[in-house]
Amino acid sequence: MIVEDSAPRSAIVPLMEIREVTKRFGSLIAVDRVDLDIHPGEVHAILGENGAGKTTLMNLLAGLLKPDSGQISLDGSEVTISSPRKALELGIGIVHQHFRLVENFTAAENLHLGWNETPRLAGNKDLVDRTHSLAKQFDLDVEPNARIWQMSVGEQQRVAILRTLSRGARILILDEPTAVLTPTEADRLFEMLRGLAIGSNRGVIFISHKLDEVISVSDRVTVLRAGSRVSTLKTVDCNQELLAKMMIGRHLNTQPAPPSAALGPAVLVGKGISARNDRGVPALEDLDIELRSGEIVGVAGVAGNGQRELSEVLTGLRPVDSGQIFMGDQELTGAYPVEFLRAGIGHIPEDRYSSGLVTSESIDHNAVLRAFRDPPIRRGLFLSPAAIKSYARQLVDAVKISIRDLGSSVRTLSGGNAQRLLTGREIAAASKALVAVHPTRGLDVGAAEAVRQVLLKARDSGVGILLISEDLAELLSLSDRIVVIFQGRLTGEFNKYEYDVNTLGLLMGGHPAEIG
Amino acid sequence: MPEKMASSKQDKPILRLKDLADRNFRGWKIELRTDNPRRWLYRLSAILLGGVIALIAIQLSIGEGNAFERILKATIGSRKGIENVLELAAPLMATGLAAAIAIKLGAWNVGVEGQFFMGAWAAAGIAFALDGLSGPPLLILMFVGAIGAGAIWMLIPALARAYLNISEILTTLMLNFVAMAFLAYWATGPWRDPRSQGAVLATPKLPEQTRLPVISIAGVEIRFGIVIGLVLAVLLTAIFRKSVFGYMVATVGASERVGAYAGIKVRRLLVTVLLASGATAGLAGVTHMTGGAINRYSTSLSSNTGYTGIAVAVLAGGSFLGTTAMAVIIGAIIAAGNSLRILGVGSELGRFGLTGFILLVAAVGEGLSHYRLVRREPREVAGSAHTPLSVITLTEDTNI
Repeated sequence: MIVEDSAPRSAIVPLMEIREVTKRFGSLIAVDRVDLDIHPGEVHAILGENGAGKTTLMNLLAGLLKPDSGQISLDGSEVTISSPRKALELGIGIVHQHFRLVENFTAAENLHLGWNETPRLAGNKDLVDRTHSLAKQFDLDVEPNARIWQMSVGEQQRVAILRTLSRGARILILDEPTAVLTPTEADRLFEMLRGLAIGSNRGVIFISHKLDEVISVSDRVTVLRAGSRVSTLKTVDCNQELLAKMMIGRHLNTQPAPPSAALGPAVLVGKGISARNDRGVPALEDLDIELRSGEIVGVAGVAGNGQRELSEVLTGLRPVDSGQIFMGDQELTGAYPVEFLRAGIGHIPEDRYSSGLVTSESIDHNAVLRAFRDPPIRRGLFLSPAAIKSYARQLVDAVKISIRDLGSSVRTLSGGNAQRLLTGREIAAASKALVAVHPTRGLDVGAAEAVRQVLLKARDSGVGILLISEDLAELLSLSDRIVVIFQGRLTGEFNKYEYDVNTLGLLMGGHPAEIG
Repeated sequence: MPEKMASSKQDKPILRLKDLADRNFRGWKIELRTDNPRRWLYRLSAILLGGVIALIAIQLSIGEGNAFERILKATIGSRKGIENVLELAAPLMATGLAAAIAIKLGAWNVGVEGQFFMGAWAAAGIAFALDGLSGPPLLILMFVGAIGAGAIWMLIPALARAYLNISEILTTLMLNFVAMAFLAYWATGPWRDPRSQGAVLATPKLPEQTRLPVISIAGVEIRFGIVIGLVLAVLLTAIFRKSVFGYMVATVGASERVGAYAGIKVRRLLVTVLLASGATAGLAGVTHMTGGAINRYSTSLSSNTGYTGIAVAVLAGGSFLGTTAMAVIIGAIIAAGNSLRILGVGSELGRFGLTGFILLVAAVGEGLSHYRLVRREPREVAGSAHTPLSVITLTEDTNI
């Protein structure tokens, strides 16, 4: 079925050859014996899920990391990329997701900042002229006199690309370049990238997890999964189904948890929700979601498609532009987070250390973060230290962490124990609903399993759980229902035992598949 | 991840203590502490060490005369010295506490000086307007007025910080200059004492019944401001440690995000705490005016009392009780600096040299208190028998 691209190795020497490159972090093999050829004149896409090893591979090429084994050759001779500076000297240039431009400087100033070819004592006119001719040379539309903060994100990206090319990059690496762009800007970028590559001696590496983009921009595509290269194919031989299958893998090892015993009435309901992200860009658009008592609804999706905003909207932390939020009959639209808490909604946040726990404070301080307003912990204006201690002790025992001193800071806990503490606390607060974001991310197998068991137990006691996760195996195993989120909209829904991994993968990649 | 690594490679300072952590130096290693219950001990010893070094430097620089003896006499070595130190410490206690309240929330009230003056202004106005009243009711009115004036002077910075995210450091600092101009207007204009001349602008003395009592313990006369400072410190400690309010402040002070997550109305809390800080600074103003030696509204009412109070609070690590102790120590340093004038050391040099040096050593001590030096386990050393001991083992992923 899958035909490996047997590359036209005969005629042309590849620009870059990567052979058996491996990088380990402790026991984790982030990049496992990966081979990659970049030919002159091609756009080469690297496709993979979060954690597939795309970023690590890129950091190896950028000189930010050193491979544990394997070789990298440029123009047929082996090189060692010891630093980012060395990478640029060798002609490898990277455009990061964040462009690292000085907001208050013009495009011309940014282009010449820290560049050894910048003429000394150059006046503004010299810089502008040079920028003009460079923009012309690479056929990029850049306005030299505009300041970065006045530009759209797409324009800023062009300045960053021009900066990299001007410094002599022959291999241009773009790390998820469309994540920050509007669809129109993305189309324009693709056109530009193709223009840069075709017929030149340059190669473009395009890192992405979006299927349609990979298909529309690349000549060849290399799929990574769990650190290994699955395959390298000519893009003309691919379709989205094939790529999705390779990206996700057919053998998801899932042992489905027993389904919900008693499905109750709707608890947490969002109707027509639109909201913006921290940069003010729409992140959720007219999204409907309903969570019923006693079920786990999994939200599948690639990071950055509105998951974080959805979790914050449903817990009162982020205001909505439009739409309504209900808990049962009670409307919570526009209410303070404390009202959401009082309505019985718990929240396991995406980043436990910066949002859910006060790491510098003691375990008992953190244990009562949700319960400190209620008696017996609160007595009038004061808190009862004895009640805090006993509450914390109960919580710690319930989630089976062995802690001798409740007064020691949360910083002293392992990641797994910190997450158990947080999960236990939120389950206690969640009398009706729980919004759990990546609840097992970064945990070892035992701790992750413990957290999953706690979630299932809460579900069986009648709590409705919204499980937002990037771990597809976890979603498939725990969820009674799975919805797919893509660009702030829910694009599909599956019931338990009716999951089709391929369709899920397509939907997560933004392919509007018919649901079968 | 990539960004972090890039910046740590490019903008690397020459030496950072945390880069040395967990590396092996001939069987010893520096270890990062997660908790240090005796941090105050580090602070105190750093301050004392700084003081001793500064004193030795001063003694060596003056050559003749005995600086130690003179300083001892001017501070804790005589009844007069103790009284002097406590008099200098009294206003610093209150201004230090004002700064410490804001620090609890991770905010900086640099406007203590201005709020101090506004408190004194309101109290002086009330005293001049109602000088027919007897002592206690008039004093109560003056204190209420001063507390209110201090809080009002903080209102704009507090609201700007909470709702527009404008740094309170800048706004409070700038309002200090407004307060100074305001003070000058009243002291030279409406309230001017016709007899006052020269550079010092002052109003007439406040009515006699507004003088706070002086307490005498074992023959040592103690200003009433010390009593107010101590009571306030105990009260604040109780509130911030034991109350629901204190719990919320500790949470938001550690992280505003976690605070919002916990259902705390972060903006409201921010405004409340900043106003409390301003109110305390106003209280400091009236206490100093009615309990100190000057007893009139004047430009010399404060000699950077507000700014020094911030340093006091920082040196005390934001602790309220620590702030009162630190106010006494700083009071002693100022007294010591003043006493050296007779030996030809300029009072500014004595005072700022001492304070600056002590702050420097204290900052180093603060940094060091996060680490400890431990002997490596003998077993570990034996286990790595094939690596010679003199080689410093570098681990690449030393994340702290």
